[in-house]
Amino acid sequence: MNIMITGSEGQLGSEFRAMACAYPQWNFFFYSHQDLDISEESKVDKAMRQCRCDIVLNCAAFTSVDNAESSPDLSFRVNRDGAGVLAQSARKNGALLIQFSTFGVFDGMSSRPYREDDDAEPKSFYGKAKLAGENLIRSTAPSYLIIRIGWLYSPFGENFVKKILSLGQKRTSLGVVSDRVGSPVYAADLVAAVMSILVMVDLQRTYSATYHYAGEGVCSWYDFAIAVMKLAKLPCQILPIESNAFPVFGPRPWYSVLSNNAIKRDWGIAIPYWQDSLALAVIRMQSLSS
Amino acid sequence: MNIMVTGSGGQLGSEFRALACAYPQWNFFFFSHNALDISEEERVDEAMRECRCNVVINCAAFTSVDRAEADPEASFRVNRDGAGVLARCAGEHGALLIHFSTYYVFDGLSPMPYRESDPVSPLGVYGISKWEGEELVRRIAPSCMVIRVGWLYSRFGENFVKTMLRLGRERDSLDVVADRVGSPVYATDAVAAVMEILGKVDLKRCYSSTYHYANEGVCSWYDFAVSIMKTANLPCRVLPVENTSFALNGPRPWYSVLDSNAIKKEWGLDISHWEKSLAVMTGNTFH
Repeated sequence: MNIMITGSEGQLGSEFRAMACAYPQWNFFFYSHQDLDISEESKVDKAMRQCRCDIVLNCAAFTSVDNAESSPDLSFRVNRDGAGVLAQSARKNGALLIQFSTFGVFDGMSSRPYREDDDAEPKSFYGKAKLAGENLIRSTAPSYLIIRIGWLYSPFGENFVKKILSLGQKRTSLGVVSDRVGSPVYAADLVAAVMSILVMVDLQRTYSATYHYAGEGVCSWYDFAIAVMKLAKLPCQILPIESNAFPVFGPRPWYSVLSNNAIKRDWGIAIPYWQDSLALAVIRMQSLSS
Repeated sequence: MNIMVTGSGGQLGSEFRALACAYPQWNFFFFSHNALDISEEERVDEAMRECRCNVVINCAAFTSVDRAEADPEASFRVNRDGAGVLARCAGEHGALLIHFSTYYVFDGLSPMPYRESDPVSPLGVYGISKWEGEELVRRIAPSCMVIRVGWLYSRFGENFVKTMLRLGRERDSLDVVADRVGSPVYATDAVAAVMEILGKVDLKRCYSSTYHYANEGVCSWYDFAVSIMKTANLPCRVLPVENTSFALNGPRPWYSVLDSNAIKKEWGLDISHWEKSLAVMTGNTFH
C-alpha cells in the first residue's frame, strides 16, 4: 500500500512521520508544503502518479484562524482549492482521500456534542474555507473519509499546550479563557486511530464518510491549562478569565465538543481520556525539549 | 448576629453545621426539615422570633428532579411556597434572607456560561418550582440574596460523588454520561463563600441580588467520574456513554455552566478549580 502524506511538516504530518516506522509493510511518501503546494494541480497529479498512490492523507492546511480573517484568499487557496485539487487527483489515480477538517465548520452555538450530521454553519473564514474544501471532496473524490477534529496539539508546530508550557516556565501566573468548551485532541492518538483504520480499510470498496474525532471528555481552555501545569509540575498559577478580556481577531466558537461515537463504532476504535493523553504528551514534550 | 439555617440535615445545611464552629462570634440556629417545615408559616414565624433572627439561610429544598415530576405538589410546596413563607417572615422580622437556587432554572441550551441576567426557561417541575420560589423571595423579602449553584456535592447526603465512590469500590467499570457539561460545586466551598459574605454584610442595608456560584472550570459527568476515581485511587474504569443510553424521568439540561464572576467581583471571593476541591473531599473521605 502506497500512502502519500501532504503537509508533512505540520502537527499531524509530523506525527505521521514519527509513526510511519511502526508500519514497515506500507510505503509512505511525505510532502511538506515546500515540496508540494496542494493547490497546484499538475504537481499534485504528478506526485500521486509517481508514488502510485493508493491513499492520500491531506494534512496540509492553512490553520491560523486569525490570519485567515486577514488573508481569506490564502486560506481558501489551501483549505478549499487544495482540497479540491487533491480530490480531482485522487479520482484520476483511484486513490482513497483522507481529509482532516475542523470543529470550526460549526457555529459553536450548540450545547450538546456536535454530530456528523449537524448543520455546518462556520462563522470564521477558516471554518468557511475548510467546509468548502470538505464539500469539494464530497462532490469530487470517489472514495474519501473526512475527519473533523477538536483542539489539536502535539510536540510539533505551534499549539496551545506548547504555548502554555513555555509561558508556564516564564511566569508566575497566567490568565486563560474559561468560558469556551471543547475537547482536546492529541495528534498521536489521532494518527494511531487513522493507522488502525488503514489496517482495516478495503481499497476495493469506496468510502464516503464524515467522522468526528476528539479525546474523551471536555474542558475549557482554563481547565486545559491547569492540567498542563499540573502534569508538567510547573508552579505557574492559572487564573480563569472571560473571553471578552482577551480579544482575538477571528470569531471563535463557544462550544466545540465533538461527538466521537460514529468513528468509535464504525472502526472499533477506543479513544483515551484527554488528561491521560495529555500526561503522555507532556512527558514527551519535556523529553524532546531537554 | 443570629443566623437561622433551615434544611440543616441536607447537603448545604450539614456543611453550615460543620463550619459554624469556626465562627464563634455568630449564633447559629439549625432546623432540619423534621424540626421545621418551611411551608408552615406560623411555625417559621415563631422560630424566627425565638432566635431573634438577623439572617435566615434557606437550605431546605425538594431536590429530587425525578421525584418532582412524579410529585409536583411536594416540590412546589417546599421550593415555591416554603420560599415564599421564609420571604414573608424575613420581612416581618427584618432579617436578610439567603436563598439557594439552581442551574435548573435554565433550559441548558446555551453554548456559554449562564449569567444572572440570562432569561430563565426551566424544563421541568423542579426547575419551575425553584424559579417560582426565587421570584417570591425577590418580590417579598425586603433584603435577599439568591444564590444559584451548579452540580452540588458534599460529604453529606446523596450526591454524584458519593455514588461514584460507592460504585467505584463495587465495580470494575462504570458507564457515565459524557455529553452533558456543567460545573461541580463542592458544598464546603459554597458555604465558606457565604460565611465570607456574612462577614462583610451590612445588616442596615437592603440587598436584592441574584448570584451564580460554581467551582472554576467545567467538565462532563464522565470527566467528573474519571477524576473521582483518580483522586480516590479507585481502579474502576469509567466509560463515556451518550445520555440517550439512560432513561431519566426528569428533564436534564445539556449545558449547565454558571458564570460566577458577579459574586467573585462583588464580594472579593476566590473560587478554586473543581478538581482541586474534589481532591479535598475524596481525601477527607479516605485518609
